[in-house]
Amino acid sequence: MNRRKLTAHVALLTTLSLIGCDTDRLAQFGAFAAAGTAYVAIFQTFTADVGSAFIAADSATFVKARTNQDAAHLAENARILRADLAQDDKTLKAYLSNLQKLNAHANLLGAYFAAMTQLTNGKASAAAVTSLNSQLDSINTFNPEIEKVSFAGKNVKDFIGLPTQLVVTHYEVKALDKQLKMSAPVIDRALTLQQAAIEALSAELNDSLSASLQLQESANVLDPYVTPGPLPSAWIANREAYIRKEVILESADGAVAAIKSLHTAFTQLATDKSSTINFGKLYSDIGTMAGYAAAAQASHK
Amino acid sequence: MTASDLYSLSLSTLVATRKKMLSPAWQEALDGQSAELKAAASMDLVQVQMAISALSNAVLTDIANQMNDESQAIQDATGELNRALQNINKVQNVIRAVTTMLDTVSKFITLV
Repeated sequence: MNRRKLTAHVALLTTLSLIGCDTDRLAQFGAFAAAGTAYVAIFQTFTADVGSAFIAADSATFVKARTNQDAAHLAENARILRADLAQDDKTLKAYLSNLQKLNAHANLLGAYFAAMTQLTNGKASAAAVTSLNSQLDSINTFNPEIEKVSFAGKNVKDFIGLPTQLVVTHYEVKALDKQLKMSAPVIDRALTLQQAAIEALSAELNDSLSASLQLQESANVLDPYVTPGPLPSAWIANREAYIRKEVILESADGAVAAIKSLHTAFTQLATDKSSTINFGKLYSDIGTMAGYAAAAQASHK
Repeated sequence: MTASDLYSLSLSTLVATRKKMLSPAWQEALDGQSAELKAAASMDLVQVQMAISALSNAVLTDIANQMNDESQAIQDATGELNRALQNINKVQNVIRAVTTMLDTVSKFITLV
């Protein structure tokens, strides 16, 4: 084998090995897209929980306050209380509106992940590429809007700091390579925004659930127990339910862990072909987030 | 303290206050009080909740200047309130501290 042939052979082997490596990576992009789609579905439940818990805590506090006013004081304070409630309703509407924007942002990401799976079979059609580009444009357009949404006193933008520059790795599979070069900075930004939002919302959800549960303990466990007469038939079940809900609160960090894992997986996939993606942890974190979201939903019913 | 610190301090103190004012221990402390005091505590609880909602929705950059102007007052009010919450059986002390806190907070957010 002369030198020229040897060089050509080595080059062919290298190319084949890169394509083989890229094929594995395509499967991992597929797994990532599936995880991303699952995350987005749970995020909808999560934000619904946050909204419901925020309103439930607010309402429960207003109800509790009312119970400590006798009829005469309630009549005397009626004008102020009416104005307070009306003002508070406006605040709650604004809060829900912010949550809706976050949901819309997550939905765009979900649509992108779904379109991405079309690239992972290695035979991307023109329609799949067009669809992916369209989803990317939508996210890119929406990112600045979501940056203005505020939670816990900060614009989402303030939580995330300056944008990072991803150095996107090169893939031999052309459709994936081209798409990643375009999409990686946008998706990275979108995932950073999601992470910031989840961190802020988890803290608020925890505070809201904590307030509601405290009232549930009084109303369903403590007060009935010390009230003369027979205990309500559901008292034992109510007590267990209260204790179980308290325990749920301890896993509030699950949502933060899920978005962090998703973001880390994307960064690794986009920037380092040789990195090992911990899909087991990613799916486990998303599962924990799902469990928490479902439990939080049940806790304010 | 930065405006961000003042914001966090105000919100966390209000959330802690709500938690205390929803507790069975606070209800027990209130039960022996006059109707006037109970009504005052009730109105304060409503305002605490409104302050939590309003602060949660507020954008820090919109209120940073006012918060900085009230920096010392915020630190004093939160300190006094946290001390009062240590002994919730002294209902009048708690109500006084909550009212001071709400007066301070109302200088940078709208509470009606």
